[in-house]
Amino acid sequence: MLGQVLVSGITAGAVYALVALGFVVLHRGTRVVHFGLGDQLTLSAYAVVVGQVFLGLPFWAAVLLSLALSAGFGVLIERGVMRPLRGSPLLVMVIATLAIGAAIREAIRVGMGPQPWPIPFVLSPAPFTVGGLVLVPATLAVAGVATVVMLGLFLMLRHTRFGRAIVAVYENPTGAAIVGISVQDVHARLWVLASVLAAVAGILVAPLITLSPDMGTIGIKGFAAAILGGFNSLPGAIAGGLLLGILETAAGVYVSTAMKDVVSYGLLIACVLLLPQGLFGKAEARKV
Amino acid sequence: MTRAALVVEGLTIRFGGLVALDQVSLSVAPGAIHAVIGPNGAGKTTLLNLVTGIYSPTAGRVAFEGQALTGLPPHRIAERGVARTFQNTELFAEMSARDNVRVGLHRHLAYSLAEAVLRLPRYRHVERKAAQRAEELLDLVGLGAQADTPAGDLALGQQRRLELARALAVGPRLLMLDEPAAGLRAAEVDELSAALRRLRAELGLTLVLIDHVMRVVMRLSDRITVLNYGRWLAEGTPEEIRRDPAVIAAYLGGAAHGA
Amino acid sequence: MHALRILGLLATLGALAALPFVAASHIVYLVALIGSTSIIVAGLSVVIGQSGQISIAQASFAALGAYGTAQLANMAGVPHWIGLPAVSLGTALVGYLFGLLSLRVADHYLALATMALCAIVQLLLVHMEDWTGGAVGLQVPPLALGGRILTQPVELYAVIVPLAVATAWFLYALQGSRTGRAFAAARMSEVGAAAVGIPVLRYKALAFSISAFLGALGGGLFALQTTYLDPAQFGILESVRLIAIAVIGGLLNPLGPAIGAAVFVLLPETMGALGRSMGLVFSLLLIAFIILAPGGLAGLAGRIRLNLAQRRAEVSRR
Repeated sequence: MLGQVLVSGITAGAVYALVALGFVVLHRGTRVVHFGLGDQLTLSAYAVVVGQVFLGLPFWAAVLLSLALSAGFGVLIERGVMRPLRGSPLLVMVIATLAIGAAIREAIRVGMGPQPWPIPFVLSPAPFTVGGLVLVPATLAVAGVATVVMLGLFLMLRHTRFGRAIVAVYENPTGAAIVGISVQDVHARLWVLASVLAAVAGILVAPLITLSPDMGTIGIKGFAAAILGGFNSLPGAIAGGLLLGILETAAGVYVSTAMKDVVSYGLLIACVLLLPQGLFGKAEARKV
Repeated sequence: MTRAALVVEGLTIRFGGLVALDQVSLSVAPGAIHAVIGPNGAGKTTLLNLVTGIYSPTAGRVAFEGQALTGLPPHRIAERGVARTFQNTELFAEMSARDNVRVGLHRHLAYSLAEAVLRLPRYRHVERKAAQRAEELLDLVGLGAQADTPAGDLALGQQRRLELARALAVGPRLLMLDEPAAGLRAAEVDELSAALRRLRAELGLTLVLIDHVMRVVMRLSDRITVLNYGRWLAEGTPEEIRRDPAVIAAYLGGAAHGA
Repeated sequence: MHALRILGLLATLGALAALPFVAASHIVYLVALIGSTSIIVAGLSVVIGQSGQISIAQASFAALGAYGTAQLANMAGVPHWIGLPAVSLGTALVGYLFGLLSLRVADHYLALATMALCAIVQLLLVHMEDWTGGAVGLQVPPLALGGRILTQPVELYAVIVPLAVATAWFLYALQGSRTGRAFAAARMSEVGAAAVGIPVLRYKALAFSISAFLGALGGGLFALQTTYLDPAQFGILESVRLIAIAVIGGLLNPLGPAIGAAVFVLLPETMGALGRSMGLVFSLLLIAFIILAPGGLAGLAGRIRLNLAQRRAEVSRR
């Protein structure tokens, strides 16, 4: 039983971790918290369905299309909304990203209807047993892809010019500007990066749950995971995601499936109010 | 011997591994003008922030007029009669100068929200008095003509004076000023000194000021405390401090670590 | 206040008073709906506009008001004229407590906490079927006042619109009071406000509790009009929609909530088939307004007046 909980928990947790990474990457680089990130996840999942069902594309092409669209959307948000709002108070940014998320959700509702959509299965839904645990190919796919993506992210940040410019802007925007790094370009890249992370999460999770315009609530859980992990730390985001996934699955199994979400959100509120620095982070001191 | 107005004893604060203030003590006589000076990073603003409740000390205590202030939050300390100004003015930028001062009068406006909503006579009377008082204070600092200007649109020197007016609105007995003369021209500095002296004379205020501008510090203060690297270095009259070798070394020498 | 503005307001009040006698029943219903919506949104005017705090929980406060009054009447026989104020005050207390807890943390954490609260309340509405009727929904008992059952649009109008007008007055009076100035001061500089003796945390919690009160009050009145409650009406999306109305109408203007609510209620009526995409239209409008006209429609009116005044001054100078 415990092993099963761990397996399902890690699967859900991997998805939360990807979303959490999206939040953290964006926040550390641009100080903006993107309340619509969860809805971008929904958008990319729907894009895959649209690609397969309406455009007749094979799965892999639809995935690529979805990723490309997400990247483009990220650029659109940065240039169309974030850039004009640069320097605005935090409140305005929060409202703006909320509005973006709401707009995505409503657009999907109008375009695709509020009823859930079935996703055509690529991997076989047939379960198989490994060492007493029941697994589905999709589970392995999620864990595998998520791991590859995270590794790719770390490698990129450390070893490519693109990535190092991002890190430079994180740590010292003025210094980065002095050495000629365009902070604006880096911001655009960060939005693309966060959008793509959300897109990957959306594509991975879509076969596992029913597709609906309200899927974006996964974003709240990703946010919770990011906070658990200390909000400013990439490894923390991953740890937070996995932890949340396991706790949530355990709550679903040992308490009740209905209360599963209440547990997540309750945990989130408790964390925000009582432990804003998460389990691994440092509290943000208020300066005078 | 007159009882001290402000007493700071063994005040210490640690931020993580850094000891920003180490066992600092000073005492200010009522009605005195007391300056705190020291090289950059000496801990002067930290001391001010500790006294006014923005930080809580790791050790030591602060007392004003015999009552403990240690660990109280900023709004409580303002209630006890201690007001302050800020190095980077913390004005209410979108509000007019008059309204900024009216906010300073907040504690003195005795009416309830219900009376305000129903526009009862007491609300109207108190608000009228508040507007008058605000204008008096603005005139006192020479901003009478700018009463309706948004605080954010004022020049730096004017903003400093507005913060002063707002601090006075609180009705303090102790006024602490964080670098009031920074960025001002010589003529403005002299105006400031004259204004502060007037305040002390007319309102019986005790003043504690932090500053780098020696023109103000030397001419205005009754006593000066010198801090260096978060520690007490010297204290005395302006003359004594000017001649103190340790102080000279701290400002001019490089390494003044216990030499 | 300018004589012209007072005249305009009196004329509006007169029109509102005359409306039930001259307009069709449907119009009366719509204006009353604008009224109850504007009360809910007025809460956001206080907490977001005046106090500068983000709150994504307004739909939840409305839900507590709606479900609370309905169930007090259904299950305990408490008439609305007692139940509504009582539930509103209770919700205000909830808002105050939540505010005290959550206002120590940064803005986006507060946004998240209110979002989570909204999600939890909606989930509880769906799952606690014995108390809320669950996903199927809840019938709202009609308003009983002075021995009569009031269900006609005109009758509800007579109850709701005066309350909406009183709420708009409350917003105006609040801004001119020491409390409102303290909200604004804390919004512009918490450090500066604390330094002059304002207990910032308590005032922010107060703003939250006022928003909860107005949310519950408006929610209870709204329930009387729609007569049937569905948990799907009270989620995060609805909270964002309320924020949209508040911003589009004008966060800092006492008439902002009414203006925004009017656009929200009347626009779908004029758009016919496109009425289904109102949610999308509103989200896009919110983005547009937050970038181009953060003062909302009321702010635009102010800007236009300012421009006209400037141009008049220039002309007279020549």
